[in-house]
Amino acid sequence: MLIDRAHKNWFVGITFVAAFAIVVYLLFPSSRGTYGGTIPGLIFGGSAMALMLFAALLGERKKRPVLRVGRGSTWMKGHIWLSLLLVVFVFLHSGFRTGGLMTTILWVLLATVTLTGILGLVLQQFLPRTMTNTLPMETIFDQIDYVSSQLRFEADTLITGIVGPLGIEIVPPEGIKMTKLKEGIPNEHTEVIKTLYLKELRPFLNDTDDKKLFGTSGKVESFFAQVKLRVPADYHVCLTRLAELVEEKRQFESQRRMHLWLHGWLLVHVPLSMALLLLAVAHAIMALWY
Amino acid sequence: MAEIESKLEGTALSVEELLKIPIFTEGAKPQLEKNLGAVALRKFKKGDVIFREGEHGSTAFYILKGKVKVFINTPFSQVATKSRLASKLGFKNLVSTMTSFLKTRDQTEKEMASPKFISIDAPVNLAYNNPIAQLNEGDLFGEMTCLSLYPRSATVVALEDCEMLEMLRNILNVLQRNPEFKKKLDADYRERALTSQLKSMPLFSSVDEAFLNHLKQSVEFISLNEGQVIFKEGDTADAFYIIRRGFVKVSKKMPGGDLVLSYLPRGSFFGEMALIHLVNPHPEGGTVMRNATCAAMDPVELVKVKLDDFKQMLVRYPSVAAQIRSTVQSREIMNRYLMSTPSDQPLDDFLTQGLFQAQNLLVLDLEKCTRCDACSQACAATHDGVTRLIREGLRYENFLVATSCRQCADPLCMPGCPVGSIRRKESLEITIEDWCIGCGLCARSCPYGNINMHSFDVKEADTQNAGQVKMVAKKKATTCDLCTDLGEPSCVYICPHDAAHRVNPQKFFKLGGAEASFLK
Repeated sequence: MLIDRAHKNWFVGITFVAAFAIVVYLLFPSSRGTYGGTIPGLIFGGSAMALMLFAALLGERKKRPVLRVGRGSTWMKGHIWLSLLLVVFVFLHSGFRTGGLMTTILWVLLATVTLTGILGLVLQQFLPRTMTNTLPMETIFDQIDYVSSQLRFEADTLITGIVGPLGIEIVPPEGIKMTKLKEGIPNEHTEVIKTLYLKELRPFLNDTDDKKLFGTSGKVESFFAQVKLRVPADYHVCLTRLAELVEEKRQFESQRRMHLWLHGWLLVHVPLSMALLLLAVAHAIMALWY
Repeated sequence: MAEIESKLEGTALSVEELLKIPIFTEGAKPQLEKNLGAVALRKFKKGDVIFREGEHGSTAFYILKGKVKVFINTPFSQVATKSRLASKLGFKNLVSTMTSFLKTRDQTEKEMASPKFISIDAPVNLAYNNPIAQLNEGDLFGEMTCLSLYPRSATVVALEDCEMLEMLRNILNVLQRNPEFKKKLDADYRERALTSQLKSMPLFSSVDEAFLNHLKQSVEFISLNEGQVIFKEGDTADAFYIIRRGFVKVSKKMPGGDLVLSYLPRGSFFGEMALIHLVNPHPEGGTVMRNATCAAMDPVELVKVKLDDFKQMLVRYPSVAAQIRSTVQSREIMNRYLMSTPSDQPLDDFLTQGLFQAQNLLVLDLEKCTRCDACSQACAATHDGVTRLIREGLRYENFLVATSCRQCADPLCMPGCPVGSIRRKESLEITIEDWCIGCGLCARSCPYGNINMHSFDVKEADTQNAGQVKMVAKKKATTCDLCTDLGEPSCVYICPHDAAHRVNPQKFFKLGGAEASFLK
């Protein structure tokens, strides 16, 4: 979520509550060794637990869009800011101590969950904008493989029409019927195109190379500029289209990488959040019982 | 006598044979001679399907002998937004929400207000709750398909062995020029369809049977050709109209050209806006002018209710005045909204992407959107698992214009629906009602690909194995209805990043002023 002026009230509110909590902590120091068992300590602990439960409910909220129990964006803002507040509460609840094994594990989990959450938030500040600016051909993430197969098929068809049979198996994308392709007549120039296509471009379009050759749009442009110098102008239209297809594929690969960054942190954040919640519940039961 | 080559299935009839049928008069002889083969005698056995809803055709049928059943086979529902029950907080609503999962779909449907009748291409209307009717000897059906090539609006099955005349448009025209036949058609319509049509209109809901009978007898029938103007903006208002056949375009003059306020299908009514002066007379008196132009989109037949009858009705039934007031108010709000967004806006992408047509656009702020797809998932969760938006489309500035209904100023999807199920009510959203028969015409007409045909399985009697049922795939059109029942589109409501917005594009992209003048 982009942190902008719409977060001002949340920021002010949470800062005020955190400051108030710190003042309470300082005004009521613990006479015993630990702080968690004191009344303010229990209040901080209980509040942190409640906020943890609220933070965990975000996933459930998203699964039930028909329920009008607050806008998704409000829930997300609450998730971010109240989770930060809960870290303050946990610090105050613990009296800034790590405690025994269980509480140490809780600390490690809390730190990991908080840091992955902050990482996700930081990524969300610039990656969407970068994707928008650098990937004009962006598609739906789940469709990347299918659209890539369409690009590959179009490139195969285009090159076959210029250089003749490629000697490789040409598979149409799912749902498209294979028809006999128009075949060009080979000559010395088409051989250059064919070799480059099979050696450099086809593996890139087919996801079987390391993609370094076409890492940026500049690299794609310069590659095709050099190829155009080696063949007569008659072939330039075909090469221009091929360059577009390669550029599109390059953008899809960039999108795939950025998308994984944008959402990959959730693979750590969500399961550890669940573990943290379960362990926190266990900690609360044990602390209250004993 | 040489055999006549039929342009249709069945046996072609000679002019002499046709003239023996009372619906053809001696005066029609030259036309019949010119159109030999354009009418054929068709024989159907009991249970034969004459045509199915959604099929394409170009002929009309006249029943010479026998009876047929006319019905809509596609099950209703499948297109509704989830109940508003789920949209409120509070213990009572929480309980309702929880128990709503225990209800069957049918129960929930019944709780929702539903229309009483569906207009079809026949001299009868189908009751919404039981969409089956019977046609008998002397009935004509399939005229809309024959005249305007719209898909068939219902399925017709022979109830007994039948004989029918199947005819092409030129023969139907000959029939309609026969005053006796036309009189009979009008009388049939007056007797069988008009009553149900009047009863189904909220305006007449409080009017008793006696007055409806009076109206039925006093109304006038009018036929218009394609493009003919019914009344112009500024004309004196003198009547109220009900559409018996065809589509009517309602438009208003704007600086950039005509703005289409609506396309009205068969069964709709118009002209009531001007009748408000009967309820709230102007202090200085005088006549009231029409505030929009209405024209026939194709061969149209109208029922004209005279002003005097209206006056009488208002005196007798004060609740009708309240009804008129409320309808006029809703339509005025809607018209004001449409007119507040003039269609002459800057060129470039705004024009090429057709955004000037849009009244309500789903845009995603790409600088905020994390491509989490919560919007599509929310849409699917709200509409029986089928999303009505695709998170892909053209970009305008840093916004993605998602593939979802734009509520166009000129909704090209509306004209032609054979059962009038795609419509704009007294609000902005274009709704596809649940009696959609899945012909796909609206989906093909939408220039932006924002109407999707959604397949679903239904049980149907297996004709090859008597007594057995089989699963058959049926289709229905779906489009964004702005989740009207829920108050706000779910895609916008659930977006966790505040990236999805439903906006008026002209206002949202801050066009107008200098940019708008650049266009002129």
